Amino acid sequence: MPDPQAVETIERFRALLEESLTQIERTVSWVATRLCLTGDDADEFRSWVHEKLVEDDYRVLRGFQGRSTLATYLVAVIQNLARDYRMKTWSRWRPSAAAERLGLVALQLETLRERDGFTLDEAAEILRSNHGVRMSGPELADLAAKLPARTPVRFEGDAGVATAVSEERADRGVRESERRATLANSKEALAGALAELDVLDRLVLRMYYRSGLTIAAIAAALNLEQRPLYNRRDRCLRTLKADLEDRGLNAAEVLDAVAWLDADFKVDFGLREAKDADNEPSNQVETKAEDEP
Amino acid sequence: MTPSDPATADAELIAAFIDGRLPEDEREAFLQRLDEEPALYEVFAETVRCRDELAASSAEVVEHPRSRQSSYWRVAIAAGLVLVIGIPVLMRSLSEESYGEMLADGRLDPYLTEGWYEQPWSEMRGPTPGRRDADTAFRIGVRVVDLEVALRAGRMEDAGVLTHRLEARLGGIELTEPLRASYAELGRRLDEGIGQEEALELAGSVATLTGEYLPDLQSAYRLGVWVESGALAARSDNEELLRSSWFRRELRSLRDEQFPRGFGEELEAIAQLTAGSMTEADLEALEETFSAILGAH
Repeated sequence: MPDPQAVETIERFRALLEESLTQIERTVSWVATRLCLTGDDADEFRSWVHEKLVEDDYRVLRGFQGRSTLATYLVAVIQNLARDYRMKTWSRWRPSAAAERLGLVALQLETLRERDGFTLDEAAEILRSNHGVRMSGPELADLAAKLPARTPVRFEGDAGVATAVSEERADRGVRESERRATLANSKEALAGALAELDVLDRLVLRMYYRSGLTIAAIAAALNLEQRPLYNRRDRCLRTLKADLEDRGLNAAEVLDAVAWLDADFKVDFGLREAKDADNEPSNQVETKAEDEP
Repeated sequence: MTPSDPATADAELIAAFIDGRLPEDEREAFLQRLDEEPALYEVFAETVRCRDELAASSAEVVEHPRSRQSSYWRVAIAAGLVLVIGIPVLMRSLSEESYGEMLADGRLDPYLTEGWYEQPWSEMRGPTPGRRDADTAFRIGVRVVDLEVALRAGRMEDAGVLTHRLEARLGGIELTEPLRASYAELGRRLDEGIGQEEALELAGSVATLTGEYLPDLQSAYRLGVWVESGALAARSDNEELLRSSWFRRELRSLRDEQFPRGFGEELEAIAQLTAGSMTEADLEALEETFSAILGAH
């Protein structure tokens, strides 16, 4: 005979979940877009998330202690689930810091090309027809050129554009070699300079330059005033620059060598990551991407 | 991350932090963990991004009647009621009252006609090997001045266009990623409709960074700023800027550097024309000389 109190509790959680359904749907759709899922794949993801939210008598909601709003809690839970889904489905693949920084279209473009193996032409067509992207072929080629070189760019459209892209890739290859030559020294110097900042300053820079979040979003998340945050960001940049110059380095060269976009600010955490390596396969992916020619 | 149920691991801690509900000691501890645990940071950042973008898409669209805003700010500036904080490029040489007067008596009107920043010399003429970065830096200097003028005149839409172009233009110069991000942020804020005062403060801050992030292109950048400022002053009959210490100091510096663009004669002509009081003919000649320098890029 089921415990009446337990049944009532489960009913309460079910009702709570149904009240939050709209927000859950919007969050799941948002994640699906970022994972570049459409059609059946998006439906599969949606079903998987719902299954996780209700399984084991609404374990997700049972674990909620009321320390935050339910809305923010559910967003964080779904982001956890998204990360889990990504690792389960695509194993070690994860988007590059550059793609996250450059925005949704860059993220989707990289996902289609690197994760799903589409050519630039094919990816462009998918983006236009399935995701409402209006950028032209050359614009998408230009965007692709800003992403880390994991696979050669193949653009099977306009030959003139293909030539321009391949010439630019050749130039990028030379520059990439030069950058990598400076990378080792630059990383150590930047790690040292970053370590001099306080933890909140480092977080602000990371959220702004690594994750491409707006100052408004950062201010809201960290419960800080927005306007002073601009000055904080600029002050941190000046501090970094001065620190690097004190070490005898050209700040612009160092920042370019670690490309801000790919810096990940991991330079500070290499030793700690080695300890967490068993639980964090995605870290190994980041390292591998960084070391790829 | 704390090994536990993958779905809920640290989710409430992340959420409580974002909602501002963690006590100070737990907040500090969480900040430390964000610093040290990449996986935790990843979920945190995506939670922030998701919340922010969903909130933005839910928010009501607020009308920003920019034409009314522009008129309001024109009157306010003319009445000297606007206190602008920050160090815009021309603040060193052009007083606020002077700007106000120029706006109020219409001297900027002939300058600020439709498409005023779409001059032939405002765009690249095509890359020249070895000169491309310097030309780009020059253009950026020109645009920084245009942006300040647009903001001062309350032309927020023009300012938005110019900011996005600056961001795009910086793409042509390596080693400027953080600076481009700053212009991108300014562009986003202008698109969202921030006020003139805040926009000027932001633009001033970014302009200061602009000079710092072009260390090897300082001469070209400074020339762009100086030439566009001079052209503006000549076109709007503003002697104050042309006779300011900043203008003269920059002229001396550029002449001493023997700026490698063959502008020696033009710089000499400008020096002579600005030496004493300026007639209408002098100002016209100055305008032509500045246009010649701009056109040669």
